[in-house]
Amino acid sequence: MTTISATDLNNYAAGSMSSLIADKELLTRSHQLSFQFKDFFDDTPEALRQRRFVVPRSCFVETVYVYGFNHAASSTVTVNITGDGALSNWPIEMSDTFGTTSNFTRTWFNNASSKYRDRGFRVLPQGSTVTITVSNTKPSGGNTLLTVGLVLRQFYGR
Amino acid sequence: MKVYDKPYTFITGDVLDPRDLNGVWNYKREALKDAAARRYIESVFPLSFVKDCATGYASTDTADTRTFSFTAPADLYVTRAFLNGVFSAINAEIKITIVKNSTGTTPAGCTDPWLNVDASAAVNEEVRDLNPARFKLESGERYEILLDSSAAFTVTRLDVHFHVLSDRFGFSSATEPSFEPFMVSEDLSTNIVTQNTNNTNFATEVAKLVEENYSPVCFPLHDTAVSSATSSTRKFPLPRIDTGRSTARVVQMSLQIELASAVTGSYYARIVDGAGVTLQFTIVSITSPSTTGYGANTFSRIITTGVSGSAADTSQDYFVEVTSTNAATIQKAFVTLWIK
Repeated sequence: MTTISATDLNNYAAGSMSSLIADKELLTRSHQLSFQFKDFFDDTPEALRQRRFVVPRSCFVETVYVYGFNHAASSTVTVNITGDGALSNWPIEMSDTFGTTSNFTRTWFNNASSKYRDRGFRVLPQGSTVTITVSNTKPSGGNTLLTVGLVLRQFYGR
Repeated sequence: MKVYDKPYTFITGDVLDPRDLNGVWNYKREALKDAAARRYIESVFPLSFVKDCATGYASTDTADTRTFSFTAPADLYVTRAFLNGVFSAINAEIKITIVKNSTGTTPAGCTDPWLNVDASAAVNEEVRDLNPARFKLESGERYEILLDSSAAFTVTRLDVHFHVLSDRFGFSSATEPSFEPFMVSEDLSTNIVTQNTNNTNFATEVAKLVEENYSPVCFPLHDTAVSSATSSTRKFPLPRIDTGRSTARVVQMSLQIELASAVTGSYYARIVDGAGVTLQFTIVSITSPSTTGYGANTFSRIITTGVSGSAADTSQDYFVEVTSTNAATIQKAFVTLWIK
């Protein structure tokens, strides 16, 4: 007769759990939104420097990034992300200098070190409208190509 | 939400109670339910019908310019669509339609128009529309979204976006994990077979947890010179992110292209690393006098690796570039990536 040991029982208990835990960790639950803004200057009307979207499911903001350049001269570009939920009182604002070579600036909301001190947790409720507004200190002339991106992580429940 | 690192640990010398074993299986059943419940994600597919921050699409633009094309990488559902914008000229109903490229027909369950702006809408005031129609995007089918009207119009700003629902189990209950363990009774000696069966069944069900969620990322480009050289004028970021997207991979990239004038050559959408090395590309060949082309390429490429807790580091950011073998001017390019 074979003796059943504690090891045998623990193997039953742990069997395939690593795969299950790995799935929980690896499953893609986020999605990336990318908005392009081309040729905007200090006198471009605000309505033309905006993009809007409606949040499909409740989520939180993992990362916001800005990538681009000013073709003719360096300037300060500011990105404001406003909307319902936490964004109504605490909009996300990023500002940095963009020159004739590309610049990449970002902030993420996982409490990691970042050049931006404002890393408050932003929840976007399902159905809320989010508005992204960019502004530029550069007067007309030359070109700008700016990408503003958000990575949103969807909440899950049971 | 439950946290399950490991169920009960048995220790030699314990007095074994059948309830301990049953507790293990109950625990594992619930853990699997938790994981399986995370089957849907819903993401945003944004389209901006503007060329830059001063020039919107107009009726004088070609139909190709006013069209966005993409290929569905799997069976997906559109759940809602939104329109928000400002027009500087409206002379008749302005509508957004979506059709299947293979048949030219509106997808079943969708309306024509999909979204619209009434002819009586005020010029230079914000207009909105919403369509909650739910319809299916078929795997491998190319879809075309067109802005059109029977009369002249000019867009000042126009954002259209729709929500895409993805199910990791492909909207099928057949592949959803389901585990109901056999419970043991007092006579443990006769129940060891049941334990083995439970273990096998559990492994089988866990193996069904295959990643199958898809979400899009889109990059439009207008009025830009392209060539074989790298240029930041046609470069878009796929940033390094040390959070939930750290294990994402691109599984399909499509390129829709329209040239200002015909230039025979090959046109590329490329995924490159921080050093400019091409990792994947989608190629569209255009032969003069044609000015338009479309291509979609399917592959599997992990694009981001995580660095937990570090400062922003751009050394391994990835980018999408639009390039060509011959110098040409792009009227419009539209790159869509599906990330899994």
